[in-house]
Amino acid sequence: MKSWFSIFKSELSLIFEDKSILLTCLVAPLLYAFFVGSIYAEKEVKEIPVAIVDYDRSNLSAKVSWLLNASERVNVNGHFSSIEEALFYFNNLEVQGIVMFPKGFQGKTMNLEGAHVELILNNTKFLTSNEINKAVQHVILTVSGGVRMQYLVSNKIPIEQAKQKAQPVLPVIKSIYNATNNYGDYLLPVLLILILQQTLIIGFGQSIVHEFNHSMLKPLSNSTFFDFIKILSAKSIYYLGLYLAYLFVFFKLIFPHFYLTFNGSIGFHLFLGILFITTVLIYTVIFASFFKTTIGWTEVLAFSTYPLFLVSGYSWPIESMPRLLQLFANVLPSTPYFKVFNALAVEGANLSDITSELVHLLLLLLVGYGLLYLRFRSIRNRKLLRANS
Amino acid sequence: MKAVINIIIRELFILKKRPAAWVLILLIPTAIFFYLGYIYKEGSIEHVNIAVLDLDHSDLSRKVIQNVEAAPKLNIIKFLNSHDHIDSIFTKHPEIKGFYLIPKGFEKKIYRGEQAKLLVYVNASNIVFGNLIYKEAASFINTMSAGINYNMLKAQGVPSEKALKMIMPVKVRSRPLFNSYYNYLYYLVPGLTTVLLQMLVFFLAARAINSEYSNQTYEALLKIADGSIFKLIIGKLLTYTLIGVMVGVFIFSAVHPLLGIPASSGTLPFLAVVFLFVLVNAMLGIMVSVIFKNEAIAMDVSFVYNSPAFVFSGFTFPIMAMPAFNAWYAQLIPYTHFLHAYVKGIEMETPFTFLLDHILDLIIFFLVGYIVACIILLRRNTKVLA
Repeated sequence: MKSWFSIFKSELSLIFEDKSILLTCLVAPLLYAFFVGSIYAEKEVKEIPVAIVDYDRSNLSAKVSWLLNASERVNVNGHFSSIEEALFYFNNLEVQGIVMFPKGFQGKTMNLEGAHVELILNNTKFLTSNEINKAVQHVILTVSGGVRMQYLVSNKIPIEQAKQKAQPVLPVIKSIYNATNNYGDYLLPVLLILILQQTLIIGFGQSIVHEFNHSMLKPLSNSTFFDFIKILSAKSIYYLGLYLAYLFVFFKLIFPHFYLTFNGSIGFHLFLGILFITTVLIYTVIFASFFKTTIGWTEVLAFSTYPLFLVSGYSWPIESMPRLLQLFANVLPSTPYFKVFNALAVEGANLSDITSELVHLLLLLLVGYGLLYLRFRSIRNRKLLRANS
Repeated sequence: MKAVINIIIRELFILKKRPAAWVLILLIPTAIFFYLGYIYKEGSIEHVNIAVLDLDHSDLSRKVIQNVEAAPKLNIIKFLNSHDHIDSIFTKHPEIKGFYLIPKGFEKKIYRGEQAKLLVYVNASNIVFGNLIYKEAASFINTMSAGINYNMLKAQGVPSEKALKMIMPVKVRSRPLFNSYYNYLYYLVPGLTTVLLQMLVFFLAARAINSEYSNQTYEALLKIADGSIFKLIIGKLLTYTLIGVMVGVFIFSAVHPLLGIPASSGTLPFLAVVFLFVLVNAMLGIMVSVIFKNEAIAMDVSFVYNSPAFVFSGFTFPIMAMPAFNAWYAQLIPYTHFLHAYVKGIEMETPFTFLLDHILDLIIFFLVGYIVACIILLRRNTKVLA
């Protein structure tokens, strides 16, 4: 059996010889971080194109259209005299919504007879549909408030008092941790962590598959669990160091580059990073031990990104998933880590606020270690059986 | 024709011996697609846990709380008190996603005819909850304002029907089309299954040619193809297209219906676009396989190219909101064009003419893949012969 240090050295040479591992672990994390991360650089969706169909052609409908166009989120992309014309652009995805003023809109509004505007939304994509809806509702509420105020003023109520009476309860909605409720601040921090997790799984897994089938882990029949762990620790220490360095670079350079909130001490984040990376490394060894070729590993694991992210509870609450998937989500290291990371970095939580997730991550590490032992025994026993027969 | 059929049969035998290919062809469609659908089984978030902090302790504030409790999607799980630190509520109680704060003097202000504020704090680090509470809160407070206005007008002797029209002189009649109930299953799963279809076909095809070099069987393959690059590519292309089309048909005929995703009258004619989409990805995969003789590198390139296809496609974050370079790069991925066609053809059920531009884009992808693959293989053959 080689010494720990010589295994470590051969891992380094394997990484530099194997272009695939080199690409996955050294090029992909930074490339993805900037390339995919920059998708959300603007963070918010602005100027969503909508069409106006104005059957009323009144001053009020023109004013409402103007207000809509003036709102940051919406851009009036065309005025049409019939719904059929607007539908052409709507069907061609050139506009995401249609605002329609029916005939008599101004008259009904000013005479307080109950007017309405029609809003047709393309709900195949929620983000744009929600933003248009919010913008239109906001403009119409403002217009309604104005009309009510005008009525009160005409009833000899002083302007200041009329303003207050027109909207007796003022909603003050404060979005904490993401003031503008934008998609970039929500998704990007965890997307960056996901990039690290996936490149680590694929790159390190390739090395492990190679080791099991061609190198030191092949003749496992004569080895003890201690030898097994020695090989694995020497192989994985490089990845642990590299990915910790990535975490440091991400927190110190990439997060500020994308103007992402990052609270908490860097030291504590790196400590959590060690826990997370080690757990991921252990689970990767277990799964990689079932594969025969490194290409097969890449081929299959490339499909794990969406399933792992979507079940983690970050984009869709775990409580809303079926019971079986809730159990599955909780055996994945990303589930507690995403929670801890979000609580610390985004919400500025303290250590006492994340104890349960920390324990969860530690438990997964221990369970992983136990599973690794069982896997080692099963491989060794199989090899011994094969050798004896 | 015989040569092409022989290549197809040979390719299917090669795939049979590759366990990873079996995982891709069988496990992804039968397990992963359903697994993804299973995540979103509920379709929408039915309940959001919130808290209330009542600093007014008046009859009106209690009425407000009762009304909040009656809101179908909001679930009050905690009544906060003045000793709770507002700044740390979300970190101390992560299960609380938002809270209503009724300030002191709320009732008095309303009865004096002054404007009162009702504060709603939302944990927007998750915008799914953030948007939901925002929507519920805005609608609740406006209804409440309307109620107060209604009572005021009635007290002034305005008839009930007139008062109702006056409190909301203009209403918005929203018609969210194609997914009226904001169902996440209908929204996300078709996108996920089709992007995985692209990856599946691309990944399988990305080992079509280079594996022949690795196994030193390229010469034998060329012989089966009667020395014709054209027949060789067509044989390989048809194999992966056939597999992809079968998976595509499985998605539309079994996965989506079994998950309860509404059927579309446009599905059957749209299968022609699915065929083209699969053909394009098989061709691009073969092109990558021709360019990179090393299978592992070809696989890495396929991974780098395909894995961000979903986020670049504009499915969750619109392309128009991306920086210019990203928006341009999004056009270099076939999935972006397929998605536009999918949305129009299946979800919006628009006439076929609206899909033509996207079909043309996909054809361009195919031609680029085919021409590049042919040129490289022809040059390699010429070198070997020379």
